[in-house]
Amino acid sequence: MVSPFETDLKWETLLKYGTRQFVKAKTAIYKQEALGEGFYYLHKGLVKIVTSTFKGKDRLVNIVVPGQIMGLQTMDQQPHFTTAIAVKNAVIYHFSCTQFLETLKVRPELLPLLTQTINQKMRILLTAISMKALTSEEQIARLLLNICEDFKNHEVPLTQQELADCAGLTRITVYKILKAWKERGIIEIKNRTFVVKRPDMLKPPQLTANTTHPV
Amino acid sequence: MADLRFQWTPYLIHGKKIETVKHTTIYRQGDVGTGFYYLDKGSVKITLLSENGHERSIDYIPLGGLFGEHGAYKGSYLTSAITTAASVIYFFSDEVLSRICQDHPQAAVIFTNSQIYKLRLLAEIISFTDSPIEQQMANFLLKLAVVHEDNHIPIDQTSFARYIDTSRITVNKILQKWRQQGLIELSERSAIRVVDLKGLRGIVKTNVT
Repeated sequence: MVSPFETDLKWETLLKYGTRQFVKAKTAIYKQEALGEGFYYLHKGLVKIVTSTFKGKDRLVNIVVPGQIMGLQTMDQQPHFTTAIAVKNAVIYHFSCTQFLETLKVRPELLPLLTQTINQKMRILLTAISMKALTSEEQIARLLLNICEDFKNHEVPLTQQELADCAGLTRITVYKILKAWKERGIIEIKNRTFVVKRPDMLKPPQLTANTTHPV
Repeated sequence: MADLRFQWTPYLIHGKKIETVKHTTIYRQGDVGTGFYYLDKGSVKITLLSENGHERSIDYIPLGGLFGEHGAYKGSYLTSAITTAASVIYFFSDEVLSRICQDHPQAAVIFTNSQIYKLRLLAEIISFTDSPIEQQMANFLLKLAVVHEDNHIPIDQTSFARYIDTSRITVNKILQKWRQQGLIELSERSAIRVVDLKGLRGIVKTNVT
């Protein structure tokens, strides 16, 4: 017998427990400080997760792509620590936390899926923390690589301003770095989006080996 | 966190008891997980290594707390855990965790809440990254007081500095200033006694726009 705990359960199979909702572009799905009573599955569209620091500065934490979960932090019935805003029109499924915890008690095989999902969120937050120790160039490189991995695509759907917000850098710094990379053929810029041509060049040893003008 | 501590105690009989000396690495960042841990005695710090080799502490596990939950269900460890004193910990493999949750549905909820708490902790570190060091220190000290449920906080200045990601000298200067202001007492080695909680809260709240 196959152990029920080594299941390849994915969130799609659980959508029947959720409520389908439509969200217009530029609308908030949930807001920081608000008490949450549920979490969401992104079915279609694109959502950005922003957090406001203690000083009141907004910082982009990550971009949610279809198939991912957001707002899971309110599972403990505490307020949200991020704000989720739809970048494009989106279709989402809302899950009630209390209801999900009840389901979890009856179906313990859901725990691995939940654990793995929280693990991904933790990885995102840890990346944001360890970013602080990197140079501006390393930060942008890490961000681009993360985005490429998430989207399974080398086209980055972010503006330079969004990239700057994400790293907590100025738009000018981002512009300078991207310009240098464009000259080296690492990326290609076409109407407001850019494509990563040489992801290998953005990884640590190559990136620092080729940096002639540290930013 | 206070209400999460010791909640896992009823399930300890299913775990594997491990006794370790100081400076033992319990799990290492990047290793593929085999399960998670419970701290029964001693102390454990959690560190994060960034790509360029910079290391900082991000958490100190309180007694009765879980750690390394990210290593459950074959997840890879996202941080490293190192004992800072001789410790007694309990290890739970995936199989044991699943069995506990099947027999005691409430355990799955405790486990999940512990993980969510860790997410909140990280989000808090992020929200303070652009704040002045003094504010970050006050916030951290208040948090430790809550976690330990005591105003006597067993932490040395080097560990404190590694958590805030600053130098020990900066930490020392601010602690000395607070001592003179009567906010804290530094009578014992490697410990800080919070005297004026309200005063520290005032420091955390300054600069809020």
